[in-house]
Amino acid sequence: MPHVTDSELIKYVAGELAQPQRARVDEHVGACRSCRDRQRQISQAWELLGDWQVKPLEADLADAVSVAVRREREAGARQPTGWRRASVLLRAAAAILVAVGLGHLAARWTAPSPSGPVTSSVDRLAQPTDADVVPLGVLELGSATGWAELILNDVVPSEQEGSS
Amino acid sequence: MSPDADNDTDLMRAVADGDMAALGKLVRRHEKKAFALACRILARPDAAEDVTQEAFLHVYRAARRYRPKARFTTWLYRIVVNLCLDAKRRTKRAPGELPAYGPAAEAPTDCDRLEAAERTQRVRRAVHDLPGRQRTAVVLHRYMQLSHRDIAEVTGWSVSAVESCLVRAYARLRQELRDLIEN
Repeated sequence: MPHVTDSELIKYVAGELAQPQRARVDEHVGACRSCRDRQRQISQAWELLGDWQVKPLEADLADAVSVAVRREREAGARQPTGWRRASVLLRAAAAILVAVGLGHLAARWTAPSPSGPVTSSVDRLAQPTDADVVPLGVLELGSATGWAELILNDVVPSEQEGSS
Repeated sequence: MSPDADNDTDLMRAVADGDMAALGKLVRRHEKKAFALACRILARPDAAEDVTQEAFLHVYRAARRYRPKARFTTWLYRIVVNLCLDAKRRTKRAPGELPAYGPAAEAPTDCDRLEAAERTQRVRRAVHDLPGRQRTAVVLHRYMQLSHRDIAEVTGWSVSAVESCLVRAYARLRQELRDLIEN
C-alpha cells in the first residue's frame, strides 16, 4: 500500500478530502507508523498556526471608503470632459508636429553637403563663407545698411580725423 | 437599493448603479476577512488597513465591469493579495523587523498568558519568515480556509504549484516550530 503524501495529509487535516479519500487515509495511517507520525505533526502545526489571531480593525472602513469614493467622484467631475480632453490632446499633437518639422528643417540647414569635406556644423559656422563676407564698400556711411552706420560712427571719425 | 439585494452579486450590481449604501454593506460584510488577509501577508496593521481600503475602492471602480464568473470573495481576495504584493515591493523592510500587534502585543498578566503570547509571536514570526509565495499560500489556506483550487484562482498559479508551495511551507513551519509541536 503506497504511503500517504504530505499534500494528501495537508488536505486531510484541512478537511478538504472527500469521504472515500479520507477513509483511505484513515485506513493507511492506522496501519503505518511513519505516516501516522507525519499526520500528527501536520495536525499539531495546523492547530498551532490557529493561535495567531488578528486584532480587528478599529476604524470604520465603510465610512473611509465612502469618503474616498466621494472625493474620487468630485475629482472626476473637475476633470475635463471628453471633447475638451480631445481638443487638448489635438493641440498637444499639433505642437509636437510643429516642433518635429522645425527640428527637421534645422537639421537640413546644418547638415554637411554630400560632396564637400566632412566638417561639423560648429566648424562650418566658424569659417565664413562667401555669403558671410560683406564688402567694406557696402558699409559706407549713408548706405542702405543703416545698422552698420552706428558701428562705423565709432571707427570712421578717427580715420576721418587722421586724413584731415 | 432593492430590499432583496442581499447577495454579493446583487450588491455589486447596485454599486455599479452608484448605490453607496450597497457599497457600505459590501464593505461591512467583507472588511474583517479582507483586513485579516492583508494583515497576515503584510504583518503590518497600518499598511493592511490602507490596502483593505484601497481594495474596496478597486471594487467600486470595477463594479461596472464586474462579471460574476467566480465567487465575489475570490475576486476580492485576489485584489487584496495583489495590492499586498505591490505594497511589499514598495516598502522592502529589513528582515527581522516585525511590529508588535494583536493579542501578542497585550501585556500578559500571568504565566499562561505570557506563554500563549510567546507562542503566538513564534507562529507569527514563522509565517512571516516564509518566502513570499509560501506565506501567501499558507495564509490563504490556513487562515482564509481556501481550498487548493480557490488559492489557485486567487493567486493565478496552477493547482499543482499551489500544492507544492503548501507542502514546502508546512514542512518549513513544522521545522521552525518543532519544539512547540513536540511539547
